[in-house]
Amino acid sequence: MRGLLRAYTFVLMALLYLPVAFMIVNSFNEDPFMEGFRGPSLRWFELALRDVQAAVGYFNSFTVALASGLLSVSLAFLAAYAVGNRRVTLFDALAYPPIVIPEIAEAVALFMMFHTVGAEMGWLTVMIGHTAFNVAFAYVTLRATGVRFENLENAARTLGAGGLRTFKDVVLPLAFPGVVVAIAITFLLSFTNFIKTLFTTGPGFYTLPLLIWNRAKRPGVEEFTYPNALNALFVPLVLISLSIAIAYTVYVMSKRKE
Amino acid sequence: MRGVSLVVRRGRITVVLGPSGCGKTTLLKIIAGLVEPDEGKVLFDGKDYTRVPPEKRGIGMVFQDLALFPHMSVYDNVAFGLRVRGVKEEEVRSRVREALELVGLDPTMYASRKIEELSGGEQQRVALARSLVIEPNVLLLDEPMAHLDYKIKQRLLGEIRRLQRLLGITTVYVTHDQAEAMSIADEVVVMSNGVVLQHGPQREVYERPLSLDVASFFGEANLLEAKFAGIEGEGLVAIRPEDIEINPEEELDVVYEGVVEDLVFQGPLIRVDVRVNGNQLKVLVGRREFYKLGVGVGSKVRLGWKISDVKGAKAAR
Repeated sequence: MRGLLRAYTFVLMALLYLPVAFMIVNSFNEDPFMEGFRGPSLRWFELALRDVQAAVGYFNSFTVALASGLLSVSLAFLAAYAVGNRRVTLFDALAYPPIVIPEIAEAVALFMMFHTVGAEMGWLTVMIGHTAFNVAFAYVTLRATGVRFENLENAARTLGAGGLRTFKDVVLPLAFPGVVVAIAITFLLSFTNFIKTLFTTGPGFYTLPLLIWNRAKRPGVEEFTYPNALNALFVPLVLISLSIAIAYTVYVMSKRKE
Repeated sequence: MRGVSLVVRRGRITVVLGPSGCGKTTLLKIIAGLVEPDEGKVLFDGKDYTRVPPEKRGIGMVFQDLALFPHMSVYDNVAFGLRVRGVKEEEVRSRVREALELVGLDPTMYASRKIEELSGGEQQRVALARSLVIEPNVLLLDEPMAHLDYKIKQRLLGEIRRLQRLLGITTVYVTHDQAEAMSIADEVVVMSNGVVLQHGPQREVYERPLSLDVASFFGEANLLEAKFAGIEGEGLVAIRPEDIEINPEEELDVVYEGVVEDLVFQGPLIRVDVRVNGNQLKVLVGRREFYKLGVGVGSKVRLGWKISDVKGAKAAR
């Protein structure tokens, strides 16, 4: 029974990684259309290095995700702090809609709103659009990891620390792991977001997912839109994410050992 | 809380005793400035501190869960209050060292330890050192022994008392445990449902409780129905278990006959449960005296006490 479960887990993991493995292998495939393997090649990576559009896409995705992650976690932190120690409040229910409402509905709503107020669509509207749902994710995360330490805060106060000092020396260090997790989650949600970005962007501004979609629509029209050229674009992303995941796990394991 | 007025005597230990939820922790938090009273005032040395924030009150407080900072070492926990006051690191070092020694922790062994590595008793000492190092005007203790073993509790109570005498610090100690109140208090405040029932020197509250509730919160009491001369109907009186004599030799004011139902060996004392006219009376007898009496379960005994030992009395409506 145990052997069976183990085999099952192994197959499950293999299936999970199959598409990623397929992508990585094909990024080294000479054939542009993945029609059989036509010998190993680095041509798609050489192409990627010359790909200015992709670099812009990466850069835009990164700045939007970083700004949205930091902003949404700051906003959510204040809200979670204000709500305090109480286990569950009605206010918590208000945080869920941005998570449960279908993204497309929210995206259209944002588009309408930006259009109505006559906002110039671009970096800022995309970032605000991402923050609109990231706040909810950050809030839920921080509520779970905790940002209020009432007794410890009281202790700091009686020992002579004012509000700011208490926040800096007691609240922030204790809430820090949760803050890091919240920033990581919101950063990733923003970095990989497609639908909302599509509806909130304007002429000339694009993120990596938008660029990929744009190219995937017309395979082989130009060199950059060959499927394997796209595969090569994603390989660094996959490798970076995987190494972060492994580094984190190793870090947690070493902490456990202590 | 309603109409609570409390004057705490300088340099003494005042124990606020009451069941959980009676408002004693709230009272302590009001003194500390962590809770703002809806009405009323907090005075230190006659000065109004009601609106002074907690960090400016110069108090030391030990919390029920100790509230030690888990992300700091023992040293940093104790140093916190000094650093916040801008004390120079050099002085911080010597004062933290002194404070740790004062509470019986060897600084070289404990300074760099993590809080989570300490036992309950050690954490208790760190919490005490942290609140004493800032030389507070008032020391507030909120059920600090709630999670400790009996032995450690007894030892720490003794040490708190020793430290309090040594430093002469005005101390308010909140607890629901009357044994703690017995062993540490100079003054006792008995609270119930947000009201102070009685406040006085420890022995006075024990010997002359103003009500049956006080008699049973602070010490044990047998409650008995009684008829009062000159008053219609029946009421209740309280008599302490150790004030009842079994098979008294001298003439006593009140004498009943009963049957021993149970014996509970409590070490130095034996509790004898006696059934008298459908009531069960608890009697406490010293060990040696108990052996002289030679009674066992089922023995017929006479119980007697002096009217002057009857504690509170309440007429039933």
